[in-house]
Amino acid sequence: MNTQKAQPRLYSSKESILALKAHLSAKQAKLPKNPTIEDYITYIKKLSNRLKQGPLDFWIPNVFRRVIQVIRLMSSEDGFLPNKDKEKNFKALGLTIQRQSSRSKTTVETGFETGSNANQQYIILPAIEQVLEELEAHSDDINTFASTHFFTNEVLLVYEYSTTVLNFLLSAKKTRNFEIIVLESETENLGKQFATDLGKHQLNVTLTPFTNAYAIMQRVNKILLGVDAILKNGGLLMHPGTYAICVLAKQFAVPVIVLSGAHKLTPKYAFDQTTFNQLVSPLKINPNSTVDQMSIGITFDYVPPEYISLYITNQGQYTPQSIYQLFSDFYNVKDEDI
Amino acid sequence: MSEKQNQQNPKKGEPWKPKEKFDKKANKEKQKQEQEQTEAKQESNKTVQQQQQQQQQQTNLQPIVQQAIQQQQTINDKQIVQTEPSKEQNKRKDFLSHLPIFQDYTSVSIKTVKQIDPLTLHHSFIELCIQYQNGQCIGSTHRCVEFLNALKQFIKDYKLSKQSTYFAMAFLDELKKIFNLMKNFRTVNEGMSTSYLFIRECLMILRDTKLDENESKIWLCNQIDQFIQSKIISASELIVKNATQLIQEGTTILVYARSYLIENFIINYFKQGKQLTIFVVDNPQFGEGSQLVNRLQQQGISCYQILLSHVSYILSKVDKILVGASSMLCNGALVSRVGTALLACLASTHKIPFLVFCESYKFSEKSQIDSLSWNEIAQLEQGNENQQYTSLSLRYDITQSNYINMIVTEVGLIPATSVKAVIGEFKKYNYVDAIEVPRKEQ
Repeated sequence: MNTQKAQPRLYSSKESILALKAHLSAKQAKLPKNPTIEDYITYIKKLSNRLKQGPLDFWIPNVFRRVIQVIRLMSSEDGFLPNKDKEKNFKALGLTIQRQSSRSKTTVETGFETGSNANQQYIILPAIEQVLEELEAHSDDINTFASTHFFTNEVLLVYEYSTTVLNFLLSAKKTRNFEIIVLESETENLGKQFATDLGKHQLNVTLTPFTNAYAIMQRVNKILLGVDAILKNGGLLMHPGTYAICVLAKQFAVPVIVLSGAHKLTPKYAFDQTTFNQLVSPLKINPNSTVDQMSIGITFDYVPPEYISLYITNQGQYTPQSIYQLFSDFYNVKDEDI
Repeated sequence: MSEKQNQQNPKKGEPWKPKEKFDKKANKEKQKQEQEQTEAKQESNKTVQQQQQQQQQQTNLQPIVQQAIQQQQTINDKQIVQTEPSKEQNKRKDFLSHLPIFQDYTSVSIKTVKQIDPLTLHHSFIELCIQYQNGQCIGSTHRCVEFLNALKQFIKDYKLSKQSTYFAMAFLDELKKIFNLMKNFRTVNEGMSTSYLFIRECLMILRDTKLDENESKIWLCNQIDQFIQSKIISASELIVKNATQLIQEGTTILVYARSYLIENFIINYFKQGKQLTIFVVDNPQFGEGSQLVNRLQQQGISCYQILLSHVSYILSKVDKILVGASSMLCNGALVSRVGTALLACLASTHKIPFLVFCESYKFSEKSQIDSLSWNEIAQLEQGNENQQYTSLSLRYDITQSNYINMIVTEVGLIPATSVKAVIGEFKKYNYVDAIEVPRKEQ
């Protein structure tokens, strides 16, 4: 039985960065003799195209975009040589953001060094390390907001498996008492898996099939959702079924909180359910289906930004109206076509 | 058994559909049921014969009793295994502790229930209750008709204990006891309550006439047949006719779970030569959607199958949503399979018409606002005893009247708020057109 916790894909975000590292150290031959920063950037873009698993793979391009952005930021400072001992995430981020704001008037194109190979290794590899650290610590950063949004004896609704939400709840458990209702989708066993994982930590968990969503929604105080991709207009791509939950939440005036690391920010736009979507195998819908039975199943649900109350990311808390700011800090406009 | 039931049905209109065996599990359970039936039949025979106190039959009892004892010993192991989870099922510590939970009854526990009540529970009811339990008999119309058929069997086998009392009053008491016993297995739905009221009216009329026991039994069975005919079968024909006017050829409709009326409507529509695009939303917990797809395929109608969580994808392509009902409440709310309210909410945001198909005998005088104040907990899967979470699954859902665009009934197309008016009209006529008073010439 499949009990995979995330979307099953060949490389997760973290693994793709490690792959990038391995590629850079091993395949130096593919780069020209004295590679400039731009050469590295084009190489990383080509690599992302190669590693991507189809047009609906957002995670690999996102992570590579972030690496490129950090490289640009680090190299825009003249004569910048980072310390060899690793700084803490926030400090490094703070420095880069400060540098960016101080350099906001200068264009990005100036300041590329064409120095020695060693210099650029001091930029590229630390950039990769920084992004890797951001990835690994994103859960901890999100958890700092854990108890600020809950009151005592609240009832929370979660849907299917999300490791971010799991860590969030476990850290919130230390200061707050709450009850959790897990909605499970009809197809996979992720809901059951989530309920058992939560139950192991002595949380009060109830597991309900998806069809009961309307019946229990009146009892729910807040909804916590994990996400697959956050689009530039604030819309979300999530597990199928979340759109229905968000519509219900609006009817019952239940706030919807989205938890995600910033590596899920995707600078694309969608307008309806069909923009980023693909049909899945009919056997997932109905294991007993025969050739002449037509079953329809989809990969993503698009949720428009009007249904969301708050985004909690490791870079801070945002509303749907202000999440675009995070995109301009996190990525560069030039790299959006990866 | 199914052939007998077909014969008992009125000849006019469509014959009642036999129960399906769509699952291997259901087949195994049917075999278990048959074993239990034979045991129960032996026991009911035993009690009937004891009442008549004939010596010839007493000599036959002994081998039957021995067989029953042997079977009890083999089932004792099952009993030990099954009473423990039944204790846990009764514990519901959370916000739904007010809802009824029904234990899984084996043949042994049914025997204990029978021992509590001095009168026996007829074997047809035992079979029916077991079918209610394991999900073979679900759907409001299906349950109601099967109940009435079981009741007819019971009437035929029923014998008055004392010949001095009237049949009518004695049978009225019997009926009450049957209902009370059946409430242990599953809640009595609205259609069954209406039929109970109808039968009670018939018995009141019977009390005033002076008919023989046999004659009154025949008359009562005829009245039940008439009820099924007029309230269910003719009603469905009228509803199909009304609905055909509403839905033009080539529209895309979305159907949730399985409804007897909607199934008939679709089959009828295709027989007239018209085309529809059909999306069937499945509820894998009860398996009703796939049952509907199979039935339609047998008739040569192809449809798309989809799950409730994936419905958002096709909502932009759907013209109308059709839904069946368990009952309609006085405040205009719809009681239906769980998940209907979610679909209604989505339909209202996408501005898709939401139509309900409901016969008038399912109209109820109750009012309910939300789905949790009264419901039934469905426990179709055995959970592990070690699981650290509580699982919850409901059977019914309340859809509020503002989500419903129109109800298609045999009295016409009415808005959800007119349910109260229709009930008022029916009350004048004892829920059926005036009941014919029986005459002694029969």
